[in-house]
Parts: sequence; structure tokens; C-alpha cells
Amino acid sequence: MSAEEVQLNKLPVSEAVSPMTPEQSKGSFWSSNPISSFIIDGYNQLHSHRKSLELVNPGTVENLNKEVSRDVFLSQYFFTGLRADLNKAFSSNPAFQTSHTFSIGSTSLPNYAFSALFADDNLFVQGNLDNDLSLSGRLNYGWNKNNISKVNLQIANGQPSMCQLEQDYQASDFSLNFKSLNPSFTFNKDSSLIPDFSGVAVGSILQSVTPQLSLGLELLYSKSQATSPADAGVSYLTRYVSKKQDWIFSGQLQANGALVSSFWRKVTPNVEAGIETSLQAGMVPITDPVLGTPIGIQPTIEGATTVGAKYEYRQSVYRGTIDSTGKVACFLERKVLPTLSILFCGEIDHSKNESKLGCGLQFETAGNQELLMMQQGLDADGNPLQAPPA
Amino acid sequence: MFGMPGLNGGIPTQQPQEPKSRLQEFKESPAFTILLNGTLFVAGVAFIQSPLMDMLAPQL
Repeated sequence: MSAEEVQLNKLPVSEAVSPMTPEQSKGSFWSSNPISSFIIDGYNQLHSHRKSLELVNPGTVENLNKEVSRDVFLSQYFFTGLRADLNKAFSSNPAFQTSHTFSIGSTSLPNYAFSALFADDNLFVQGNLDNDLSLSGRLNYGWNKNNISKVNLQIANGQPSMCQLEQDYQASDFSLNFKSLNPSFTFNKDSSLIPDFSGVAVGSILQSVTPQLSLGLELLYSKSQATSPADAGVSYLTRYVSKKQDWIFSGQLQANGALVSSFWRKVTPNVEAGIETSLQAGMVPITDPVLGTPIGIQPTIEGATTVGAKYEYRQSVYRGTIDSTGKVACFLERKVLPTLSILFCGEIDHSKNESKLGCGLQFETAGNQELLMMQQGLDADGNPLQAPPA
Repeated sequence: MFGMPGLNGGIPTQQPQEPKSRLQEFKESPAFTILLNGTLFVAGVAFIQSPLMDMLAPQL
């Protein structure tokens, strides 16, 4: 080989084009390819930066203000009239329980309802059937610790049926949720490959920005019929959890023009307090005072602020709320025996001069010997149960 | 069918309304609702975070 040939084989090396590193030459097609490796490197850098921020999962959008609206406030528990619940637990793991609910004098509760529940580590199934032959069911299945699929069904007598499909994904620092209510796909006659969607579709994301603060978006698409025009909206969400996790602020600007802000604080291990303010923007038609015909629209804002507290003790739970419209309400649940609880709820609406009252009994019976012993504070051998360390 | 002049011919007339005061106008405006509920929320948060709320929790 002559000296001239050796010089021709020498490739010019510029600063921008460097030979492949040993790691790159050992890698697969995707990691050695300049385009895909740029994307993969970019993702890895972003991932390592996200890890360095020490972010935590912000929880789901559904539970954004759960501490106030579901735990402290009594709207989830309130009932009127008289009711009696007879619950029977057949096993604890997997949990299987049946329940009979009798009610009288209530506008929302049916006179009789039967429900059954089954739950194990991955699966949760619940079904309800009432005396109006309304059937509702829930099925949750956890594929792994991050993915949960949910199905809700409701077949009510004289009302349209409802089916809701939902998928929850919880990553290390964000949560994704997709749900669809009564989804239906129809193909057009003009041989279009894209089907027409009708129903409601909702997609939401909640992302931790700092270990305390998370921001989120919720997109809603709704189309009642395949031929009718679609409706869409965006909601903006935020949640801030204090460093000690003893107070939480959450805010929502919803697509329907509602602004909801809530604040929760754990005052002591037994006492929680919360406040929620909601402002709802709307339009009211203006009518001509003489002719009575609509002549325009006027923007209105309705608002309400509710403050409440929850006191939870070993044998009783008390919830009380008062709101800016003059409504005072309380709910008391007291366990008088290991198998019997008494429920009392009352509400006085001072502005409307109305009041509501509800009283109930809850019986818990055991379906096997082990649960019976557990209800009486004893283990399977009849020895007293040890309380878990606080 | 034909009314006497000055008798309005049976057409209902709008009662002359008294002019609303500025306070009444503000109370009926959306800004009042926003301001009221915003103030209540801030006052409620201040109350819940204050030692008064700690005093309302029984020390067991």
C-alpha cells in the first residue's frame, strides 16, 4: 500500500462530527441512530431532572377536594326520614358483604334496596337493586398498582340507562384519567372510515410541579346525538398540600363557568375543618316588562360558602356545617354496641324556613365465627385484639 | 276600542320606579357576590388556621 493511498483513506474529522463512543457502538439501532438517540437522550435528561425534583403523585382529579367535600362535609351522608341498614359481612379477605336498606319518608332513598359487595386485592364489585327495579353496579379492576379500570352501570326504571367506562393511570408524579359516559360509535353511510362519536368523553391530567403544588387540566367533549353539534370545554385545576400535610388548598375553574376553591386543615388527629366557596357564572334572559318577550341576556353570578368540621372519636363521628345561605346541618353517627350504630342528621334552612330530619339504625352482623369474635374485640382464639401502634 | 285622550286607552302602564341607590345597585351586581364569597373564604381560612380552631378541638 502506497503512502498516497493511506492519506486518501484518512477521513477528515471536524469538531461537529465525532466518531461513535464505545457505548454508542455497542447500543441497538435506536440508541445509535442520531435522530432517535437525540430523542431518547432528551427524554432521559428530562426524566433524571424530574427525579431530582423529588415529586410525588398528586392523587386523582376526582379526589382533588375529597378531604373537604367527602370527608368533612355531610352531603355524602345526609338523608331524610327513617332508615335502617342491615349489613352482614361473610368474610374479610376477600371481603364479601350484603346489605339491606329500608327507608321511609325520604325523597331520595328507595323504600328497600339490596346491595352486595365483593373486594379483594385487585377486584372490587358492587351491585344495588331497589324496589323500583333500578339496578346499579360498579366494577373496579386494578391491573397493577398504577392502572385501574372502572365500569359503572345504571339501569333505572323509566330512565335512560347509563354506562361509564373509566381508566386511571397513576405515575410517580402525575395522574391521568380517561372516562366516557354512554359512548357510541356509528359509521356514516358515505363510507367514511372515521366513526361518529356520541356521548361524553372526559380526559384529565394532574401533574406535580413541586413536591407540594400540582396543576391539572380536564378536557370534556360531549355530543348527545351523532347528528347534533358537539360541545367541548376545559377545566383548570390546582392543589397545594403543605409540607407537614396538615392543610390542603384546591381550586378548580370549571368549563361550565364555576369557580370552586376549598381549604382543609387537620386540626388534631381527631378533628378536621374545611371551607369551600363556589361561584357559578350564568346567563339570565331579560324579558320586556310590558310584552313579556325576551329582549336580551344578563350575566349573573351565584355563590355559596360552606364551612364545616368533623370530629371523629372511637365510637362516634360528628359532622357539622354552616353556609352563607343560612343553612345549618349536622350529622352524628354513634356506635352504641359493636353491632349497632345510631345515625342522626338534621338541617335547618333559615332563609327558606325549612328543616329536614333523618334518623337511622345500622346493624352489623357477622356471617362467620371469626368475624363475630372480631366484632367483640377478640381474635379467633378468644384473646383480646391488640390495637395497632399509633 | 277608542280611548279618551289621556286615559291611555286601557294599555297597562309601567309604574314609575324609584331610582335605586348606589348601594342597592352594587348589592345586585355580580361583583357583590364575588366580593362577599371571597371575603367569607379568606375569613374562613383565617379562622380555621387560627388558634381559635385549635381551642374548638377537645384535648383528649
